[in-house]
Amino acid sequence: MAPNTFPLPLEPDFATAIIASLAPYIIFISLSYLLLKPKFISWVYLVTLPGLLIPTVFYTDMALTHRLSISVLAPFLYLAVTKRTRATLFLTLALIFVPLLLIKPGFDLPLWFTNSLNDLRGQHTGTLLARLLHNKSDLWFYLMNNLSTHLSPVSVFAAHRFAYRLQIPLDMGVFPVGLLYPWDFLILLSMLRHKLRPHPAVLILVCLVALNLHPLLTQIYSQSLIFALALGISRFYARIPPPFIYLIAILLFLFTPFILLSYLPASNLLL
Amino acid sequence: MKKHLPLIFILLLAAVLRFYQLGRLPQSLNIDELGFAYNAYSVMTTGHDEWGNPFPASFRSLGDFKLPFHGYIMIPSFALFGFTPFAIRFPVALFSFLTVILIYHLTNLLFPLKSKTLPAGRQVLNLTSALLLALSPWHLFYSRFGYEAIIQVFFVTLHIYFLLRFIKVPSFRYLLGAFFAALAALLTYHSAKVFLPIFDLVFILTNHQSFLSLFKKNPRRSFAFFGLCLATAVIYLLLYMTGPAAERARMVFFTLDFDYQRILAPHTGSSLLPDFGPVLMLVLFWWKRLLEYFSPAYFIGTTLPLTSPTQIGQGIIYPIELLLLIIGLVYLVKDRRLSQIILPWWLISLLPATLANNSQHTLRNMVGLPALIIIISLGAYHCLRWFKYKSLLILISLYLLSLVRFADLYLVHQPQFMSQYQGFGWQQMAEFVADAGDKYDLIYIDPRVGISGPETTTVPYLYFLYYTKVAPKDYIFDTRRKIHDSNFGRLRFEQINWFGSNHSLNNLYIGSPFSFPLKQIDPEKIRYTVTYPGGQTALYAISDK
Repeated sequence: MAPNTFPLPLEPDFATAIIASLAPYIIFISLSYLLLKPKFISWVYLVTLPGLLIPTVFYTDMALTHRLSISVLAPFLYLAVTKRTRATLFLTLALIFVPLLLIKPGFDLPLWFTNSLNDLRGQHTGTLLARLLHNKSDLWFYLMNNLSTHLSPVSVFAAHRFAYRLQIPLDMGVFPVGLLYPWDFLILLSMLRHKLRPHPAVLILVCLVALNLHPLLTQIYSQSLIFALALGISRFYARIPPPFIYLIAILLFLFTPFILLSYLPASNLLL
Repeated sequence: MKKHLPLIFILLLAAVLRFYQLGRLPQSLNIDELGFAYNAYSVMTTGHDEWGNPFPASFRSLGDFKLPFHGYIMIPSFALFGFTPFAIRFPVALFSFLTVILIYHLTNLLFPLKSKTLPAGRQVLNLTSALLLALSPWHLFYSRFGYEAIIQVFFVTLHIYFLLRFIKVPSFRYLLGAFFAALAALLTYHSAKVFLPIFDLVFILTNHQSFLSLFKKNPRRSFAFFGLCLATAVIYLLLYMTGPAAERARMVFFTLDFDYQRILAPHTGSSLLPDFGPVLMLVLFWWKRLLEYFSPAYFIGTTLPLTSPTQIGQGIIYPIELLLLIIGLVYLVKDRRLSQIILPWWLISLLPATLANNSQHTLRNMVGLPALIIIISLGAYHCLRWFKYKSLLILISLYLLSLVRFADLYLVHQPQFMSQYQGFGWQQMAEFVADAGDKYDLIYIDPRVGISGPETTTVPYLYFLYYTKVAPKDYIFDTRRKIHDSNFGRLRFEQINWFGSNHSLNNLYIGSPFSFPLKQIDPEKIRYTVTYPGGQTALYAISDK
């Protein structure tokens, strides 16, 4: 499903592989630093994000577009929403569309979807009703399925999909570790409730653009959207009172074994 | 009269959708329906359930100790309509219909006559909620299948209705009404055991002034009422939360979940996680299970068992309703009083389902359905206000399209995809045995069925009891019936080992295509076959001679 359009030729040289893997990660952190000027706790938060920590560093066969999308597009999406200048908006849109032109994604429907449509059609005795009911208008179902797999609360906060991307079906989202920390859910709710900047309408607009591109790009930009959100949340971390910082630090410490453990089943299967 | 015409139309629609062809559609009775029905019929005719227990407080049935209300409420239905499929499904369909009336009145209580947020008044809103519940795919699907969760939804809604009446006019009669409705819900379906105590606690905390004022006004009666609640709680705990009756909770607790046992549990002893590891793992696993109920795929993906999980299917609401749900939620959180009732109702309803195994279960959290419908109605109400004629027409067209799509999935695709999981075929085979079974010494029945493989192990003895019209007194006291076994008469329920059986006798074997080496069996020995609606062979009856 994932078009690994620009796979890096990593195998020959392990050192090069590690550097190439770390590079996007460093770019993301550096850009975040430039944008946020974060406090220490925000740093800790961004550096230990469950979704970022291991996959981007050690899963060396990940597509370059995907790495870049996390590392570059996420800060720019954040910037486009918070600063809202024409230049940042233009730059963000360019970052979305240029890879699109490079990839030239096809509009082919996935096999399971066409199979399902054919199954449903085949169960009708007449063809007219079958064609009327089961046609490409059911594409919404495919869009919704993609949305649920990559951007639903459960996939963001409680079940990462990196194993899925690596085509290890046994571990598909079973481990209860998301791309963001579980308590970020509450922080996000609180942010939405108090209508903090970024302005919700603009946020929704950007989300809608990214989501509409989602089926074309399959998985590439959804992560960027989440990490753009992570940047917003890390800003919230910088403002919480000191007692809560200790609490957050303890939670981060407790959570680390889980992050590490969540990749063990996948790595076992990889071996 | 003219004023009530829209409501009458909605109720007529609800009645037709729930009662029309109820005995024939869905095609076959499922195990749960038959489990309740045979035990109820047995109590009606002998005073004992199928295990010989006199007037049981819970039906042991298949070892799941079913709560008693649904079983006992079937008895008047049998007295009225006979021991027919229609009579088996009638009580649930009736309570489903009554819930549509109830939600109309509940919405009347929840919303003021007119307010800033409801400029058109509550009349449109209560009609919308009644209509949306009447057409709800979630409610309709399970209403026609005779699931007791539907009865529970009615009683929980009634309980909340009485509580709201109590808040308006603090009186003991409303509290008593709420008490009896809660008791009926607790005696109907297991989810209420988790939902009601938590919801009531939240409700009392948020409305403590009404309770305190009643207590100050009449302390003696308040103590008497409190004593009644306490005594009932103790009896209920002893009867249904301890001993064998608590078996169901142990069977389905979320630590027994397949994913947890297979992948997560082996890691809880890892050196990476010290002593707190297992607890933290469980908490996170529960968190994941909870969030699964907020996924778009849960609302509009393939969650209702109309098609197989990998197919395009139907969720618990129509796709267009997801938009209305989001709009409704925005308006709901703006109204503090309303959100203090509806949001806990919906969110607490998810708890029973998250504490049990299986993700995205559509029965265990069904108690939250009226809350969801009220939120969607609120969204629909504001859409009706915003949209101009043309936009509204598009919205209604999309809704109608969703209805057609659901009807297509329900009537055309469900029988073809799901009949193998819904006990299809056993009725026809039992009727064949009732006609021709006397010709054979013993009849062996293999409980494994399925199209692509023997995927499902069913409980065929209930179908044979029902369709061969075995009198409960004959079954209960059949000396050939062993403990933990369901054999009776000449019927033996066990996996068929064709090559290990002695075929010089005069026996009949009934099983799926996977029970027999069909290529090596003389076709003349095949006495009867049943085919699924999709055309695949479901069951064979093959004789020795």
